[in-house]
Amino acid sequence: MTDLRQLLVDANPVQAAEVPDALRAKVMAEVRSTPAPRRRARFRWPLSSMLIALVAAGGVATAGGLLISQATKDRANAQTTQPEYDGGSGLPLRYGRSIELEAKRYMRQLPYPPGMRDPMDWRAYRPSSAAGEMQGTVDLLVEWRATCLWRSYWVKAYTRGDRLAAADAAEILGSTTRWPAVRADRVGDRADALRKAARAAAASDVDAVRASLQFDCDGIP
Amino acid sequence: MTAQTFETVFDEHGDGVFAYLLRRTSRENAEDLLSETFLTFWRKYGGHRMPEEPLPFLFAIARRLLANQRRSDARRTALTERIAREPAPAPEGVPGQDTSTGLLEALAQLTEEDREVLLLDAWEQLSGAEAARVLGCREGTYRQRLRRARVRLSAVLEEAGGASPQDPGATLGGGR
Repeated sequence: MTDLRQLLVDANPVQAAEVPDALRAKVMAEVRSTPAPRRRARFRWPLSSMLIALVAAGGVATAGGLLISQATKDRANAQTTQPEYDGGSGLPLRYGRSIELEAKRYMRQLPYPPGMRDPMDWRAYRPSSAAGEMQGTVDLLVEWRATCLWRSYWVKAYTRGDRLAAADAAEILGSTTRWPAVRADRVGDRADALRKAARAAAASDVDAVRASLQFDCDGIP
Repeated sequence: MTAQTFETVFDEHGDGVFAYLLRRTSRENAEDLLSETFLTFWRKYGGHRMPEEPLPFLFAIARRLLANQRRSDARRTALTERIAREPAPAPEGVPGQDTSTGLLEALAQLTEEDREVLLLDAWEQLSGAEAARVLGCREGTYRQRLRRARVRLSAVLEEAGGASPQDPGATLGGGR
């Protein structure tokens, strides 16, 4: 009597497979150039508890015929719509740590071109709270500046005829649109700019990469 | 999961996932999808706690990527279908080429869901719990689907006059 399962097992067209070394190396290189994602910070119960307490206090006070000042209400509202960073103190609300610490922590996870480091003075940096400014996350700024260094590195390598270094840089640039903060960026045009820069590098279009450097990376060495 | 752990996972399961993909698509696609599967796994679990048994998760990612690719490119033909037209050499000591070809033709006539349920069991050799995780369903549901898929495959084979068990209910049972 024929066992259908056994027939299926026997009909398996690929009994075993081995990943080619080149493919393994490619995957590992891509992983090395893709920073490990970081989970979103958990909802901050203490802050929410404070807000709930404020609202509850307002309700009780109103019920008791007491007046809550408009200023207190405004402050409570402001807490729910506050930007991610306090532009004055530079303290990120999301991480509960200083910008400098967060930037340095994240810089350690990103690949940088050989011999190049981001010289940004994070201690002095204060994000603008104006809409449209790059104040979404420190991580995004760290990533963006790293892409500038990679673009700069690619131009230098290409100009001096170092094809290997240029190819490495082009590969990294190709991965920048998958970096977590760029991927999470809702504006989206930054990913487009990086995609264009990566394509230009892959196509050895040095003028286009230079142009992207001038346009996107003014003041970033 | 650190990059080092990732490397270990790749070395342990890379071949298995690659074989899974090769059984379902061309070599070129399989290489692209293997890379994308592991990158997706890294993006999901990099820096965080990894599943204790990563293989079903990797298969689930690979399966989704395959489905996406098939949707976006209808021209690509599944390996099982191609093999049905271009018979593969039969392994030694197993039923002959005709049987395999008929079986693969019959498989190609099933729905993708039926085919996947059967192949996770027979080709990937997954346990019921593992296969259920790949498909995102309960183990009981998977076993029920497997039984039904076997009956449907048997019916297709009978209709084609091919190698079919005389009593599907009795001989197809088993499973893992």
